[in-house]
This record gives sequence, structure tokens and C-alpha cells, in this order.
Amino acid sequence: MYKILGVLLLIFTACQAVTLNSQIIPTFHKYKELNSQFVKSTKDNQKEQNKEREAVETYMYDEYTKALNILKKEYCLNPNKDVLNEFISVLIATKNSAYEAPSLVLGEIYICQPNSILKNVTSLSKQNKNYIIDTLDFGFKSATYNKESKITNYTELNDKLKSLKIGKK
Amino acid sequence: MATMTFSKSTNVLSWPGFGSWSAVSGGWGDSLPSGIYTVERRKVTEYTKSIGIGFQDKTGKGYFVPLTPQFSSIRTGIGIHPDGNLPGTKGCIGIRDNPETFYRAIASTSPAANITLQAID
Repeated sequence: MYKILGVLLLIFTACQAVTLNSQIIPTFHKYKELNSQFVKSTKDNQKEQNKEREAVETYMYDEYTKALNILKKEYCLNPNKDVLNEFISVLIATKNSAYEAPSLVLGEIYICQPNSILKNVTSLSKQNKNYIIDTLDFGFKSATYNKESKITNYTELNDKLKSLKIGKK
Repeated sequence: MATMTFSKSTNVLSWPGFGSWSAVSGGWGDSLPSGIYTVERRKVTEYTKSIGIGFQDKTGKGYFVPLTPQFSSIRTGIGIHPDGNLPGTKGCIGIRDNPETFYRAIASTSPAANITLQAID
């Protein structure tokens, strides 16, 4: 009986992971692609650049935001390495964006799954690592602002982040 | 001449005839590039609780006013919003004091209004 329940739980978890991957990884790819096209668009042609800008911003506020909402809900339950790799890759590829929501989501998933986030960050190249540490710093502070006392492991998380920041210098 | 001005040195957003607001750009990323922007009047969101926490004022409601540079820039996602939650922005203009009055001002204009903003150093 317990074996059957165990197998069912494994199947359920695997299905969740597949759903999460299939729901949000294509969105991350599409957003990166649109942003890349925009960055490469002809700087001398304002009309063309604005057209590309509209495409990337519309996608960012609609589809990418929906994917971020799924990520923040699902990643805490099922910390999928592939999804995290893709998310970090999007953050790096879209450094040109002033949109704050992705940083906030990184901060939120750091609160529930700190070790997987730290492991990923430390594996990045120096330049990317420094950028992601700054993004995580902003996201974590945003996610915990005026709520520090409500987060039981706040001090531990903050200390780990401080160590990362010291290490980047 | 632009309709409104944001000074990055004095951190003031001025809109003659409507008022001026203490505001910030950057702190968690580069401030918005200097130059003239189109204020996307038709794309202004509602003043609502259903908006990201960083865009909400003390009442828990917020808004986003998108800006499009009229010059070549690769920055995306720039706009004006209340400087909610953690102080500072990733490049947007975050209004610190009385952000609701700015919303009322922009909402009082025609959706077809041609509004521009000049960001100066």
C-alpha cells in the first residue's frame, strides 16, 4: 500500500515538474529572443527600434509576468534545477530591463529554497555572478522589506547573502 | 519643450500647471538615461491594488505610466510609478511623496494627449 502511494507521489511530482518546465521555459526563451532582437535593432532607425521595443515590453508585462507568477508559486514546492538555470539565464540576458518583478521573484524563491539558489549563483562566471548577487540583494530586500520579523530564518538568509556580497569583491 | 521634467540631480519631477513631486530613479540599477521620452498616456494602468508591491504607495494601491525614449536606448521597462516598498528603483522614476496626486493629474488628461518628459542630469 505504502509502496503504491510512494510511486503515485513520485509520478505526481514528476508530472508537476514537467508541467512547470513546459509552461515557463518556452516563455523564458521567447522573452530572451525578443530582447535580443530589440537590442540588435537598428539604432539609426527610431521607428524600427520602437516597434521592437513594443514587442519585447508587451511580452515582458504579459507572458513573462505570468511565467514569473507560476515560478514563484511552484519553485518553492518543486525546486527544479533546469527552470532555475533558465530563469537566471533570462535575468542575465535582460540586464537592460528596468522591470523590478523578476528581481522580486528571485528574492522570494531565495527565501523558500536558499540552498539551490546559492548553489546556482556560486557556479556562475564572475561577471554574471556579480550581477545576479546584486539582483538577489535587491530582490531579497524587496521581498522582506518591513517583514523581516515575520520571516523565521531572515537573519540566516541575510547573513548568507552578505557572505556572497563580500565574496564578490 | 517637454511637458514635464525629471531632474536626476535634485530628484524632482515637475509638471507645470499640475505640480512637482519628490522622486528617485535608480539606486538598484542605473537611473533612466537623460533625454526626451514619450509618456504613453493610453497605456497608463489603473490606480489599483492589483499591481506589483514595488509600484504600490502607502495605501496599497499603485500604477504604472510607461515611458518610451525618443532617442536610441536599449533600456526597457522604464516608467513612472510610486516608489513603493524598498526605496529606490532599477531605472524607473519612483515618486516618493503624494504619488496619488500625480496619478490624478495624468488621469485628468485626454487619452490622446501628447505628453513628453525630459530627464536631465
